[in-house]
Amino acid sequence: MTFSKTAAVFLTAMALALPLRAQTMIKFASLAPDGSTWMKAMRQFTEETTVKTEGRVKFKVYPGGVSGDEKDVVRKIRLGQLQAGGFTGVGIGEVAPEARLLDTPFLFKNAREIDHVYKTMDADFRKIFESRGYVLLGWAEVGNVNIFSNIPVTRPEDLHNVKMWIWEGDPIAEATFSALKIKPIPLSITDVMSSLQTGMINGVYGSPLSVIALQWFARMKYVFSLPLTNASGAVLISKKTFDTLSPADQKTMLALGDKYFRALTLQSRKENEQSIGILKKKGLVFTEPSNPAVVTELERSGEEARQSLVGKLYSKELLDKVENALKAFRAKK
Amino acid sequence: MNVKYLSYFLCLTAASSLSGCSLNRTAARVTSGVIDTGLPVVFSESDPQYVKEALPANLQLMEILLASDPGNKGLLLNASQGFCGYAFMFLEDENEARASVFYQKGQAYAERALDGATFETAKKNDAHPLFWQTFCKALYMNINRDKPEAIAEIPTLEPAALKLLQLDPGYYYNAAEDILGAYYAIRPRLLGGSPEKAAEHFELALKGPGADFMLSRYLYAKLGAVAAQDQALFERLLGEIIEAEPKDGVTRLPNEVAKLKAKKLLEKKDDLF
Repeated sequence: MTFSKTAAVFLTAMALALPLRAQTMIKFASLAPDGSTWMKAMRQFTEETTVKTEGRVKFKVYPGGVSGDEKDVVRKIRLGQLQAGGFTGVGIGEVAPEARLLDTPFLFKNAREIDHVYKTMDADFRKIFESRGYVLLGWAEVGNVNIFSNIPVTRPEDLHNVKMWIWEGDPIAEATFSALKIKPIPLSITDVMSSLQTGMINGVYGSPLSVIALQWFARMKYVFSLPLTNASGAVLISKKTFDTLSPADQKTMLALGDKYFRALTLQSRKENEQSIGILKKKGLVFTEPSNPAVVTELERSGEEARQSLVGKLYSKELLDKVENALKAFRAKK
Repeated sequence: MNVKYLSYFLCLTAASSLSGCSLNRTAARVTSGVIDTGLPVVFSESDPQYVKEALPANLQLMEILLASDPGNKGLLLNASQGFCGYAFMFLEDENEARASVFYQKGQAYAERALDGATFETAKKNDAHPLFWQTFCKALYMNINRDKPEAIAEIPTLEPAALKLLQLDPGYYYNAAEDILGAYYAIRPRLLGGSPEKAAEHFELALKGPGADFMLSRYLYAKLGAVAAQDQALFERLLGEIIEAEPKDGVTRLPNEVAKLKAKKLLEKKDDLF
């Protein structure tokens, strides 16, 4: 073998070997505060992924919104400045509006139904995310969302006397309140506290834990026990980055995503339960629907809201598929 | 019972309490006075490892003395400062669970010294226990941000710190400003945090009596500079701590600890920015 041939063989071997040895740095951002359960789960996931891929996949984590809000994070992922993010409905809606179907009001009656639908629809939603350039590493729900107010709410009409906040630009909340015939006051989330102080609003919605973390609970007196919805959350990675990983590393990452983000969902549920206990201790009163007809009426409003979003966020087929999965699950019992 | 027997009975009760309970209390008071006078010796120590090993026995001694003299405010205050200070200086980076227990103990001792006073009702002479109660609580929250019950207490930090600034603004090297800095730094903007406000308070902590207290610079770097994602500030503050000329006096120990912590934090720079 001549020198040039040897060199060529050597270079080819190098070129082949390089992708295998290459390191992928994944910059991950989330609004979740550092040290929160969310970020602890994320760090466990990233650390184990790095170990199991023998250092081929590394992470840099940006917690607490230091990379901007969720819309900024989605934009930065598109620009290649970030590669992954932990999102609530706002970010998910930016990536795949169809997935917001899971956030629509009064869809699920309990955690078993939630788990069943997420499992049944897993392949559908993965496909949707992939078509938008993302890979789903795991669902991590924010949790049940309740209505907080300063007057007791036991039926939909009571809400007409509440100056209700709505997160500006959230199509799900708009459809929900429209179906409930409420005219809410649109504000950014950062303006809610001052508006509660001035009395511009006196009703908000959120998961028990988020209402504690946002410190809104100190201004509220009542919580309507029937959850308005179950708020989703998801960890997504840019497909472009994911595709550069070897199939084995991809598999490792997906398996660890399943493990840690499922555990996170269960932990979130527990913390929301604890948060309900704390809110009660702080003197907030939980009210129940005044009679079973109220529940039926609210569920009908949920259905109306869902129908109104067909063609805007998701297709009729997708809605039917989710509703049929729920019907079948309920019929089995 | 006639008057003669009654006075005899009262005498007997007084004598027995003087010989038992009260004697213990007197001894506790004398010893706690010695501790109070001697604590500056601990804070002036230049060898953190020595203090790390020696302090737990003294913390336990304070708890033993408190059993005989439960209402001793000076001792309660020293115990509160001792438990929180020890946890912050020596436990937090190694074992958050143990540090949390120490912070809770420190907070509870300060609460006993407050004797029912709250940040709303506190007067000038409640300022020191109010400070330690709030400081211990803030340090506990900082390492327990995953516990809803800790998160629910965050709103109490700001009014307490503001009250402290009214009652005794420069107390403990302006650390009420550190509390406010942390309050704005550890929460994301979405949850009411503000890296700009955090920086304002951390800067105020470094003025006057706080200028030579390096743990304030450390908190500013760890919480404030990271929240603002200001790497230059982070490096400058940690550099100042590491290069500070050691000075004898009651800031020697905290400043030596700050140096060790600053070096460790600097190693994590690439993970934080």
